[in-house]
Amino acid sequence: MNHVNDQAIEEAPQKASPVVPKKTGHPQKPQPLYLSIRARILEKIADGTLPKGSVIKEGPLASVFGVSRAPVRRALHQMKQDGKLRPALGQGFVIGLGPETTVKNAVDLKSAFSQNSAPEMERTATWENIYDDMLLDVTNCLPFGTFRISETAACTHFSVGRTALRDALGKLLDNGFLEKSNGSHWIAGPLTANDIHEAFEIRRLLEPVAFQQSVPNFDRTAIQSMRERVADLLKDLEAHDPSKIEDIEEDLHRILLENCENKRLLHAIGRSQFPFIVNRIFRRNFGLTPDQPALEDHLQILDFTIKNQIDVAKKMLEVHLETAEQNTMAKLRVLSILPKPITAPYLINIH
Amino acid sequence: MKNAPLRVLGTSVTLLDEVQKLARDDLGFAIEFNVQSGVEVMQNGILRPDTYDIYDQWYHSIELLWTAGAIQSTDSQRLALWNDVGPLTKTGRFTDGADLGAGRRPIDVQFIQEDGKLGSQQSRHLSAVPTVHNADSFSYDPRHTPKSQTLGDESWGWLLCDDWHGKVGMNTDPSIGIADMILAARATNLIDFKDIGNLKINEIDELLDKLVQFKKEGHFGKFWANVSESISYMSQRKGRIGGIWSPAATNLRANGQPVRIAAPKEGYRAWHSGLCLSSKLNSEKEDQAYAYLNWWLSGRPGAILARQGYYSSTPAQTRKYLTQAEWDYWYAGKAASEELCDPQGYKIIPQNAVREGGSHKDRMSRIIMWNTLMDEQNYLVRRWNELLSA
Repeated sequence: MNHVNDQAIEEAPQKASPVVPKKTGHPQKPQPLYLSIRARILEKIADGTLPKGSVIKEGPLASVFGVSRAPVRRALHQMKQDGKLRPALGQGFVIGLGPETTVKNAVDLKSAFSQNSAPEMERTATWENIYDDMLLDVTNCLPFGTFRISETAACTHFSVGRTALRDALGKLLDNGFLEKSNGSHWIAGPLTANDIHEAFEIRRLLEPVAFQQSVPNFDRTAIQSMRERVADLLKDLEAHDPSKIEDIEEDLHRILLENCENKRLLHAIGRSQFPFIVNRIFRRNFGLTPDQPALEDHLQILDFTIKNQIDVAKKMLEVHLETAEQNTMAKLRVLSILPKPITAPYLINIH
Repeated sequence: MKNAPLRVLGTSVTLLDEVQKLARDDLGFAIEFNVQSGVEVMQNGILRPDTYDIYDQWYHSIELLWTAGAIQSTDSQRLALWNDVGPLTKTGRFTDGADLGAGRRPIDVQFIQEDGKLGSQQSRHLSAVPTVHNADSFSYDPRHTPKSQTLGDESWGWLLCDDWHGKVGMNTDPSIGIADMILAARATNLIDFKDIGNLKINEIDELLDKLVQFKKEGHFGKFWANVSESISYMSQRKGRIGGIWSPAATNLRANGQPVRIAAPKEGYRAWHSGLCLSSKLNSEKEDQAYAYLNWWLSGRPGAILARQGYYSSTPAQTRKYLTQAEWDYWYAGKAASEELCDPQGYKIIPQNAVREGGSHKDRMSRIIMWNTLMDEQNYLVRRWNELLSA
């Protein structure tokens, strides 16, 4: 009896307000951002605005949609798995399975996505919306001390709820950019020389193994494109575009390893690639011409890979990482003269 | 552009008015000294290579400027007296068997290596032209030495000794002040460091936590950023002991205040200064810049700086411009045969005085540590700044 009574009490409010039901009840769970992006791109493929053979890239798409790269990357990745896209010889993805025709730049994409009456993309407060911005905020402060993340301030800053925020923080934790203190606070930094040494030690051990497993299955023409990118940059170092350096690093240290089937290995490598932060902050403050010997390493590693001398390339990758460790340590020492930067309001400096 | 002055960025340690006047007279072109504190010189040296032609600073900062692309190499074949530069620069030891000292040493960053990095393997191209160096310690007022401590038995540990409580002054430079404290903490067995020249994170934390405690308890009377602040602190009779540099000790003596420069039983903290060419040096100014570098090896400025206790990298040249009495006291470790003057002409060394620690060779052979840049420098500086603001 009691049981029945309890049920009656719980149901009572609904009965008392019969108007509430469908319209103002719990909203339907919103669609994740990446699915909205995927839907928009598929729509443009279907109506021919983006014809087969077009090459589309993560960066321009993110800027056209006004979102971070993460959801675009996820959308493209899923479309690749669905067979709608395939990796381009250079960067980006080709629509369909035929040959590449034209590369769609940001201007092309903007006009493609603005010329119809499709409903506004549904934007939801998922962790993907804020992850990239948060990653940038956190990594920019890492060499400059120890910071605690205020969840309340972060929710206000990003206009998101706790769940989305904690998902994003969890992802940062998982990727090695944050730690949790004994008191369960989210802590960022400090990034020390010891952290860099340990990360490179892991990379020296793991990246050559992943490289050896991944490259035999890797499309040789794609490796050739990677090689051309390095060769082009080496031809005119003075006129370099900083984003090209990042692409070249990404080619060798991430994309080329992707065919490795041991995903735990790749995850461990990804978690140890945070020293890039030092290079990025250094580049922004001191804007130097690229490191020629390091680029020549890249060129040689790719050359040996193309020639199928994988063991030589693997050994060179290991040596390249040793030099990279020394260079990164030297740059971290230079950062010692920079004052603490202005950080996002949710990062509380505790040391 | 040719008529614009040659711009030299540096500290008051070497950029004396007397040096500037002599350089202008000897070289016959306009020279402008931009004098700043050690930390400012390093920051502007790294961030603003367009604002100077020559960088005049300590060797421990050179690697930072090289990494940041702020300086370019110097061709030793354009230095007429390069062969006169001694073994301390070329091998890292003043004499065979001398202590190398902990830390990243001047020799470790002296030469440009084949891979474009700095190293000790001799090569034609230099990161910097060596000018002056010294074996540093701390100084104190001998009239107020606590009974527990005796002259001639000095130890770095005195800087953290209770007997000097509230009367200790320290330099704010994170590479120099911290080195003094490392040596003091080791001498008093406060901390057992694995390598005093390259502290680990836990050692930095332990040291800085303890120093903050010392500061809160009032052990340090003053942290100073430059020589004049240290003179003022000591001359107001507030300070009794501290990381007082040679020019400050010279100045205090000139004003009649007795100062004893310690010869610590553990050894000295050494430093070396050098001149670097800015990466933005205009090619039209290159000849003037090399003329200035060559002038520094000529012994003329070395003689001025000898009178404040500094050793030249070309002592044989410097000797030509010193009196026998000056050479004997400053370099040879012998008693002064007459009263001696500082660079400004004030009498500072009485007749029969003997330099603390002995001769150039005696002092530079007892190096326990160099002013250095540690692997964890970025972390160290930020913890050090917390101490300064604690």
